[in-house]
Amino acid sequence: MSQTTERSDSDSESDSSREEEEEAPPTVKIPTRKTEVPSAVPVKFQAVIKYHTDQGFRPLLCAFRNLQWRDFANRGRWHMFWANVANARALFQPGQRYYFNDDQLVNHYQSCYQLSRKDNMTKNIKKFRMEMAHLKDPIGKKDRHGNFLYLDLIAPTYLLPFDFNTFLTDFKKNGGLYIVKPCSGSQGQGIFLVNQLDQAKRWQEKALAEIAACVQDNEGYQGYLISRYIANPLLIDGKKFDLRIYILVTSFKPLRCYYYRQGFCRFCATRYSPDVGNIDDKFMHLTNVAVQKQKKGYNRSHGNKWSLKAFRLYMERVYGRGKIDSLFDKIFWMIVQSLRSVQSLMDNDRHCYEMYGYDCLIDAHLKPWLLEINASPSLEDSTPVDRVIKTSLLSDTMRMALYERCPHLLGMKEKRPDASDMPLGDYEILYLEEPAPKLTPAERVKKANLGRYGSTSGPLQAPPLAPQDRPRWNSM
Amino acid sequence: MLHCVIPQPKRSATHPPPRPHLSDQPFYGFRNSIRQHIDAKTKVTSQKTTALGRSISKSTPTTTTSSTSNRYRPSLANPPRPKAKLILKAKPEAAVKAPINTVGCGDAAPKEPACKKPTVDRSNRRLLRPYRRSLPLLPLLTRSYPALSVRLLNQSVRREKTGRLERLLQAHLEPAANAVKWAWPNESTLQAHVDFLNIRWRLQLEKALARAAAGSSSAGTLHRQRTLEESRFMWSSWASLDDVSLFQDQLRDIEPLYTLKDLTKRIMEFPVPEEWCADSSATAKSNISYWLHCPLPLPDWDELRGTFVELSPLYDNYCADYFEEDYKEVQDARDGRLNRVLKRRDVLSAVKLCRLGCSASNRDATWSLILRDKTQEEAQYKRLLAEFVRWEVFLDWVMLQSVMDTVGNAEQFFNFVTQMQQVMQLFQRDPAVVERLEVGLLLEPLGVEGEEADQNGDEPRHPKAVSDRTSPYPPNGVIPFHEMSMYAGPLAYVCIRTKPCYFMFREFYCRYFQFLHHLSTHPQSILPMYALFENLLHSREQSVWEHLRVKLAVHPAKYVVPWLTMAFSSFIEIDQLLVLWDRIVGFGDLRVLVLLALGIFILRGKVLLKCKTSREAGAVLSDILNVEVVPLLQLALFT
Repeated sequence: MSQTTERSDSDSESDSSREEEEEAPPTVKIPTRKTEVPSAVPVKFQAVIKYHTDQGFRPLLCAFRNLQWRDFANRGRWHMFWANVANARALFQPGQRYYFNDDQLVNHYQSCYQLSRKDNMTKNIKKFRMEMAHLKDPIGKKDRHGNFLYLDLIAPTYLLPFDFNTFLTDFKKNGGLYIVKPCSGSQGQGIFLVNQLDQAKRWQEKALAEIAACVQDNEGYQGYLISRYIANPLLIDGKKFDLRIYILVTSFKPLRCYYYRQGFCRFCATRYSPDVGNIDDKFMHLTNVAVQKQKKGYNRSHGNKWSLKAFRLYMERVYGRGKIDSLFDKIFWMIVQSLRSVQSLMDNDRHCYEMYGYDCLIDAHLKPWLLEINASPSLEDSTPVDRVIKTSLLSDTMRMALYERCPHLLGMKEKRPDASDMPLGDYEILYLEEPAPKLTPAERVKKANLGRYGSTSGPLQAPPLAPQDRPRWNSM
Repeated sequence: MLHCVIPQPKRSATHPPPRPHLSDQPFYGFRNSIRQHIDAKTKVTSQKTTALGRSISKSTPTTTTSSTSNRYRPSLANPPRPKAKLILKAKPEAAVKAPINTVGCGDAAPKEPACKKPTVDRSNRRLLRPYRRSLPLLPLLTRSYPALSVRLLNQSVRREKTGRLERLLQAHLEPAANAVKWAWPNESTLQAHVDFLNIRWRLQLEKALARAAAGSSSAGTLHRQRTLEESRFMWSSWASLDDVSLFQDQLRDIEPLYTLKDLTKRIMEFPVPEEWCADSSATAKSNISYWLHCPLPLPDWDELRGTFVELSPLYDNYCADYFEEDYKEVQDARDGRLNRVLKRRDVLSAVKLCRLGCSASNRDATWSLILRDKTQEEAQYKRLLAEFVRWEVFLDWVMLQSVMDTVGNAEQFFNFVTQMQQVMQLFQRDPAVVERLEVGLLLEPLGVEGEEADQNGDEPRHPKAVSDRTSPYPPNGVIPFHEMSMYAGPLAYVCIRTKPCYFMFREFYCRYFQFLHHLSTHPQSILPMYALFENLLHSREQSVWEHLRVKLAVHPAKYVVPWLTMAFSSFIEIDQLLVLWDRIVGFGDLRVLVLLALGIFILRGKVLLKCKTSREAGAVLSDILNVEVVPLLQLALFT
């Protein structure tokens, strides 16, 4: 025990740079930002919290050190397991399921692939909006061309080889650029732009060949997605970019999610031009850091990353505050609806929480498009600023998860009813759904007859976020 | 006859006809009053110089402006001492001889290969070495620099030959230089000393500039007209100035002339008399200087609170806090008020509202209304662009490289590299800046000869050449330091296009930033501001002050001076920075920066007191990225 106190003392002094704001509260009543951890969280945790991780990223280890947790070192039981997806899912393997204690948390859901695989995400969102339209929910409204008004979250996307015919009709009708992605690829691998039908057909043949090989070898099939390329992205300094926003989901039923203030924009290194001749230039079209790093002259001091705060300031100057407020409202709407689309599919295990990295693109009309959801966003610290952001992101994430699931580990007897002791850190509340009321048996039967989402007036249906009810989404 | 061997640049047949270079004219930059004093003493020297065949009378400008002459009033009470004269005689000889032997492209040294590019001794960075306590003026001025550009060296040698500089300085510093122990009882002696240091600094910079030019691909040419192809190329690359690979040849050996670190060192090692730090034992050990007891008239707390009364918590200050509960409502009300003011172009009300902070969408309009005079801008911008295409200034390359290294690597600004390059390129050649410089220009800027006559006769002349044949070098009179473009970076968030951004930057520079990197006793400049900081910290947080100085031997200037010099640009986050600059524009007073620095020290005081080593204290003070401006200003002023 003496060892820990010693370490904590030296820690608090050496990483002073980011923390002394918290330590020295001004003496007058001064409006301050909520970056400080609320005083309800004691500096010293009552229990010794043991972590376990299978990753060695520096921000992760720094976060554990800042939280003053101990490595469980294969002795006893861990409280917090920061695992990769495969290891986390291995805990839930039928037959060899890990026996969780009440105070044990793991950072993935068993069925996180429902969001993180591109084909599943597309399928779920499509299904969700079909259902909303079917249920005559106001958010499922369509305009006279048959486009969804409020649920137009993703660009038209087709799964190869199965949706090839639908793709053909779309292609013949609209033409233009399409983008082919492998369903479970990451870091921009295997992404190509196509603008001609024979190219698309070649991908179709490839997908068919792969599926045949998979059937033969009895392996998992990867598959490809082809979706319309957003050819008019918003450009800053002539460069294409997308936003990376971190979302923490602590429970799907009821949906409780938070967004992190310190996201960033990831820029391409090359100026964008929509010319067909440039479709092979991945440095112009793909914003992934893993891709941009390969470019000669990649700048390691900023890594083409621009903080969301600076982005917002600049955009407010260019477009005015109203438009940017509504842009961010749209982005958060998109995120909440994408989470709602998988609400019923996720196993709502009380030992799980998840931090997603949302990638969204903004087009020239200031409409956000959902590109991809990462269940395990990159924790690499490519720049100094990156390391600071990701370290605080991870420690805030884990503290929030503990608050939601096992507050006694944080030294709290019970949560305050108004949630004023929430250790938000740099998180902001995105959407907190009311817990579903207990149903009487008769109501349960009625609900079962109504289908998954209940009737439009039923108690289980999440309210269609009216502007006045929405959380404050202007705040990034 | 020493003067006959001053080398002439060789004009070979293979080279293009000579383009206007640095002036051969002797240094003319002293004020009329001094000149009268000096001319009597240096008659002989002047005549000798005339014997070289270059007319001095032609070059002596009649345009020494009256505005500049007020700034610089040396006391002429004490005539120079004979002892000093002796030194003067002895030293310049070595100085004249040295370049002739080492730089082998003059007529005087025919045995050397004529067009040999002078080798550069890059390790020789003595020029930028900070000052010592003693006043080793002459050795410094007459040190021989092997790679010095011939023409520039001539110029500075002639300055020495005429002896005017030394006489001036001697006359100036007579009481101080000869005193065993320094004592500056009042502000004017401090002023004299600062002037002296400034002149020396400027000479050092000019020599560094000449050395850099000699070592680069431009081979000593500081200023020349571009050829037609080059002009076309530069015009086509105007929109892609961020692509430095276009200018690889020119940027090969470019290094910054001086950096923020050098500026900081200048202040930290400023030789102050010991009475100022009488109560300290720390200063005796180290050669760092404290400003606690300096004789400058500094404002007290009441005066500061009166000046910055709008910062008090009674007023509704806007601090860019998106996370406030009623953010939207407050913002809408504020924007409405500001919009009404902007609509009727009411500058006074705009200033008052600007003191409380502007929102991101209104900031451009408000600042423009307060600062900019838009009537001249269109014509000036066109002329500057034409000059960019037509003229190549050596400092362009230095600046291109600096912008790439500073703005190009900054997380907040890297998207605006092109815009910043354009802004800084225009800034380098704006003659309107030199007219508005108030501090730091004790010496006239280096002269560049105007074009005598154009080959065709109808080409546009260098604009300055029309009036008085010589124009300052660099055309804006400012020798840039490495981080200078960081001043302009935040303005990219305010003005979207290059033109407004440039004129905004020019206003900011001429009104505010020029005071931040020149030593002067002007109340807004860095020395009095830093002295004010030490005083305020001492009166407010004496324990922190003592702890830092005595226990840790940490000089607060090491951290505070860079903050002040850069006006916190790139030190704090951009939204907060603009909130701070709102106050600078609104109050027209740079001492807001001091208050913020003080606020940071108060906020971190407790942590600083816990620090046991200077390294820990450095860690506490080096990262101030997420400070909040308005609460800290209020904390510093009103608690």
